[in-house]
Amino acid sequence: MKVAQLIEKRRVYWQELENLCAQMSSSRKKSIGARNIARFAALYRAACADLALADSYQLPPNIVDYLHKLVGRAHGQLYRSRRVDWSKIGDILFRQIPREIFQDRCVQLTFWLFWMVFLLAGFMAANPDRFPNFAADIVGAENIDMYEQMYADAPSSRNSGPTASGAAFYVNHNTGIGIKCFVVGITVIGGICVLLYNAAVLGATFGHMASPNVSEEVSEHFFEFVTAHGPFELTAIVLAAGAGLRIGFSLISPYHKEESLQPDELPEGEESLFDKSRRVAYQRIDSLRIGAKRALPVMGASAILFILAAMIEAWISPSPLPEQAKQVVAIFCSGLLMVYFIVLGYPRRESDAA
Amino acid sequence: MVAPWNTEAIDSQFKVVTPENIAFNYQVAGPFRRLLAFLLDLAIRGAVILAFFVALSIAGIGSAFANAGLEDLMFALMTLAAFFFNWFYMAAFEYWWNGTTPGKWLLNLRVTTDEGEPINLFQSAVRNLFRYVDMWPMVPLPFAVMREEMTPEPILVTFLFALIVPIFNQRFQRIGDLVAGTMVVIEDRSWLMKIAKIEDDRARLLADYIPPNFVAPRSMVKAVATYVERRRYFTTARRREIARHLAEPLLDKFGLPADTSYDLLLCALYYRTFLSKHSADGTKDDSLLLDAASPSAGPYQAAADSPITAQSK
Repeated sequence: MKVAQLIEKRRVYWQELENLCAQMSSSRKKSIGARNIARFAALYRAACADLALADSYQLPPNIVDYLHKLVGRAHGQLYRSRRVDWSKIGDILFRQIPREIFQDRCVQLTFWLFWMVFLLAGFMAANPDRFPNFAADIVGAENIDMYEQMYADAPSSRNSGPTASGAAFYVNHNTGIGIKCFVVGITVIGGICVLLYNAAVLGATFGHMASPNVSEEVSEHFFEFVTAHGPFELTAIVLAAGAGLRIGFSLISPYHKEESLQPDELPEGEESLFDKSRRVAYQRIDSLRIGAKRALPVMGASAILFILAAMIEAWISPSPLPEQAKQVVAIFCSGLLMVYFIVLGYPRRESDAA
Repeated sequence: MVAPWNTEAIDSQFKVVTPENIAFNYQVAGPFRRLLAFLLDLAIRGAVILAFFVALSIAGIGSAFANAGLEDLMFALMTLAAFFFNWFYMAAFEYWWNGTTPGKWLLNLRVTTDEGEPINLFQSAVRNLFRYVDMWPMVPLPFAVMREEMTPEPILVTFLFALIVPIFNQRFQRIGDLVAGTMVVIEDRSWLMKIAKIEDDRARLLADYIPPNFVAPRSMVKAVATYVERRRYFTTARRREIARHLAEPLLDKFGLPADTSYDLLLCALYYRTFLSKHSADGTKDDSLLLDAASPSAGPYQAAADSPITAQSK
């Protein structure tokens, strides 16, 4: 008796391993016990060995199938997803991300595109003599009426003032838009369209509010409301779109810096900030993954900015604080962004940073 | 001995080489099983939200909150919960539950990396954020009436990307899977089949007539084993038809009468290979090899204090 006997002998071990797998998938690791975990490891190795030798044992195919599934299950239990190292989060947030953003051509591109279109739309909407009906064409006449009614009262007297549910609503709504903008970026054209649409609508709204068609009072209320959270929110949408475009462009041009997998340091002896000599072509699918790895932290920064903006929009913008206080908040926020992107983001050697 | 086509690709299997340097196959999950898991997850989310509202409105928790002046806080928490449910439900579960969500767990699915390793937080986040692209292309509702009734978003989500993109790669990866470098595998529990029994005594007798020096090549052993394991599903005529291709040349080779039952001959061969006391190649010493590799004694237990030897003592 050879194969049949062998299978009878091993069946006990295999079934024990199977039971342990079921136990491990349903209960917490600590309750299983060190003894069982050690036993599990030994049984897993034995099952691996059986599978490796299945061909030379000449096991029947259904037994081999069974072994494949058994080893697969045990493998899934043995190797588990790694936990995040939270001690590194400060390093990632304050060293790696600003440098990545500072050097990222896609963020630069979206920055220029967004502000050009924003200013152009604003200029055109603010001069209704030369460009009649521009704002209504872009934003829609109903929306414009709605905005004008919304800002007929002072921000502090609208609704019930600062509320937590308002903050939650802004987090949900604005961060959702940011994530969508990021995800759409993989199609490049779609991402740029969404970005330009947002820039045009926002610019036209701002311009219209500043135009002589709108009463002085309404425009004052509008600018008082949007001043405080504007810097964070507009930067956040630029960052989200830039991160999305980074993914899309990595499909079009699969060039990345050689060390892009660890984007935290400049190569030895590199003089220029934007040295392209060490850029390497990757396979497109790998390039996509590297792009995603570079883009996700930027998106994370954008999400944080969205949340901060939502907090300001809910707590400070509608508050009865004087307008000067809100302007101070806006200036302070802009200063913070400058420090973050330029002071922290400026590329430097490791020795300087340490 | 390379098959003319890639059988692994046809069976949608994917070979994983473990750090122990063992290769095993994962079965890649197809779109329909994953659709089911997705719908289950959707239903679970819906049920949780429904339970929440019922608790708030019927059980009176909501009015208790309102009386305490915390209504604003309650709405804030609900909106935030909806936000996280919407965007991070899947990612959080895949991270904490080792690549499964409740729906996937019920259908025995697991997300792994392309190399069959467990996914990390980055991968679970990316593959789930890109679910938004899967809904594409979004088209306007076809009839003006529908568009007027269903404002403010008169848009139909087609989910065509979720269906089309997986077709064009070998591992049924969605766009999010491609970007994150992950795949979804089936982790079925399968039942250990016993080795097929040969009830017919004539097969055992016939096995003695097979020349003792005949060694069946591996591919033939595989074919015979597959046949014998499945023969109970076939009628006699069908068995004869299938067995004929292998049995006819074998009868000829063994010098047995041509009217021997084909089915019986394959059973005899199976019996001799897997069950009989005689070794297939006529030697006895490979039984030693089998003993040596068993988990209770052998090279895998070289260390004297290994847990298995400790247990088996």
